[in-house]
Amino acid sequence: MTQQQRPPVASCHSPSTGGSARADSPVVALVGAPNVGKSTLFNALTRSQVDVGNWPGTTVEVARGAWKDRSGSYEYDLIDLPGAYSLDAVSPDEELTRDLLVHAQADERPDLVIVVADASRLTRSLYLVTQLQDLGQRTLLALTMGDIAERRGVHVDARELSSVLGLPVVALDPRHRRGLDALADVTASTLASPGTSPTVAPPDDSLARADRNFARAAAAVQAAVTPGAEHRRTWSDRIDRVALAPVLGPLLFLAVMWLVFQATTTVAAPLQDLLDAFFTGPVTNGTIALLSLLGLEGSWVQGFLVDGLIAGVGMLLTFVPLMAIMFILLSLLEDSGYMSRAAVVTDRTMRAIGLPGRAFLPLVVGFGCNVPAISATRVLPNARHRILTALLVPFTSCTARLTVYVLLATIFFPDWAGTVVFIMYVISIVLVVLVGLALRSTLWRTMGSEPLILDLPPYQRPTLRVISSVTWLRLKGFLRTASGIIVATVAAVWFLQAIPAPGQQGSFGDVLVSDSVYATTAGAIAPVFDPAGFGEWETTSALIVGFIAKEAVISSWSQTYATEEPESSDTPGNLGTMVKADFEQSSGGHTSAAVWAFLVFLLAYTPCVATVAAQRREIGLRWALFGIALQLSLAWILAVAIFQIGSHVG
Amino acid sequence: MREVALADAPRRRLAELGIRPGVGVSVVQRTSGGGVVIDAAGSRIALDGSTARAITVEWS
Repeated sequence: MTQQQRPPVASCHSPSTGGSARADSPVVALVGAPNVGKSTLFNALTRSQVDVGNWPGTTVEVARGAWKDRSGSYEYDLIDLPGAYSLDAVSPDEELTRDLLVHAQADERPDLVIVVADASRLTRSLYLVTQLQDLGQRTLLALTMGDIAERRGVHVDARELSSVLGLPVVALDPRHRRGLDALADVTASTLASPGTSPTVAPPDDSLARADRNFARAAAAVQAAVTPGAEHRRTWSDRIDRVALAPVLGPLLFLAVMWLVFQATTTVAAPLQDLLDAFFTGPVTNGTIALLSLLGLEGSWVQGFLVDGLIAGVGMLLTFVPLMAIMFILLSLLEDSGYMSRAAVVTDRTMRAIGLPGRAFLPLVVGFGCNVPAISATRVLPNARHRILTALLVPFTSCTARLTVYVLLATIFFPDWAGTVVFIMYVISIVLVVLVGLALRSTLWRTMGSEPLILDLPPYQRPTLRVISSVTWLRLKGFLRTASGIIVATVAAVWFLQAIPAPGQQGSFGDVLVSDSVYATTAGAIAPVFDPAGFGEWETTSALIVGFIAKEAVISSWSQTYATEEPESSDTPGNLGTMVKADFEQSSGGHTSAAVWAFLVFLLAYTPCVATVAAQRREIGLRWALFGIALQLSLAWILAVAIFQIGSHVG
Repeated sequence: MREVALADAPRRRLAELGIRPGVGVSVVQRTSGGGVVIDAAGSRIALDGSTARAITVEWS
């Protein structure tokens, strides 16, 4: 393979970062069924020095890194291809694996394919091996989970297997980094050997050939594997007696979801507040003190550093503990094997609204915060499901929106504020279901009709090494993609607020918000909201900063009305009077209708810039932009409909 | 197991997971919503109700 032919990973960042191999290194691809320890092996071989990104033109995530000896005696370009049971593609992820191995030109294919197989359930992995051999692909077999196999009384004779199949077989344990050197030795000798030629001309998907390959795989297993005691109940089965039981299973699942929700809200919140206080307190004050030493106190430099840069970076970093908690929980649930059970338990409920069972978790987390929820869409093995769920998460009403609901409900409907907030949550759930149905019936008609056929890996104790390396990798990825969008947006709003509008008093960095270009911009956009009953620049301005973060809506109002921020959102005080006057004026007397329209707009439009950043990371920029367009248009249509109907009825 | 009355794609997926005509399978557990978990050569495979009903078995 030459440099030009190497498919680059991820256009969003330079492939040279992380741990890319030298351009002339042989390309080695890891393939295998889901849950065989493929990614664990990949992380062990590359020591987590990897590039993770979407394969060009797809939303399929592929990790790539250098697998090298410390002494430098060998170096391979290692690709972790998406999990696939065979080369008969079903999902987009499997399609990618198939494309690279079957449809690619011979010189663009990997130099060597390592099939990672679970020793305790060998038959299915060998089918893939026989397919690769038919293609003439240089292949070797890595056997994982030998410990689980032995515990079940299954013994695999690697030497016998190797001679029956006619390819090298290496037994290893990536979770404890055993057998990795042997794998490197065998890889080197296999690469040095001549490849075989295809036995059958691809592409041939005939069922007869499939049957022949299944038979070959079964024969190899018969020759090399001593089966364990059959029908023995393992401790994994005993856990499943509870975890999958018709009534207890869903209850246990709800308890797990409750814990995840608590961890991403109650546990994460004080940590976020602490970091926030650190940035608005010591860091801001320190910067101001430093600037005053330089004689720049109160200048635009201070404004830019404090309100632009520190505010932006601070916001990004307050997400770090939250995201770390989310990623730790995700890898715990995945590594232990519970995630597959959760998919089974929720399958029927979610199927009723046309979503796969695993989409439940991201949607639950979304009610706490959308940002980790978007990252949680990773639990969906199918790329199309991932996109759909990531587009639906923003409609789950996060806690940041709750503060605005409470404030407005207290101002306008003091006697039944609680009911108003409750109704907002009902609307949120209805929106998720309806938008999901609408997207499915337009974009992905065939989705949701697939039957549930799910392999349940045996439970295993999660290892600290796997969890910490996966968490670190994901956190790094989030920071790298999210930082640009978040900091740039916060800085841009500061910049607009710092420029005085033509004909207004003040100078750059020293101007009232109401006299700035920002207010002019908000005023220009405001008429768009006239049909929804809240076309005042103050309201529009709050919605614009609400795009950055919903927490900013209330502080924006207090800033524009030049009044104190209320101490808590259920005692609006002075701010309440002013917001009330605004809505009365803009709605022409139909205040309630306008407030409902505003509340629903607030619920349905883009939750915050960090969510967009997370979406860009998970489903790519194009889908993230599609999401924004979807949210804005839906929010506007709903708000206008509510105001028009409400003002004519009321 | 005798036969699988399903479309090509899910039938192939079942075959990949070791659920093929002629193979011995047993039901390990029933799950909520009419699904089952079956044991096929040591692996546990969860199936939803309608998929499970499409599989015909011969008692032995």
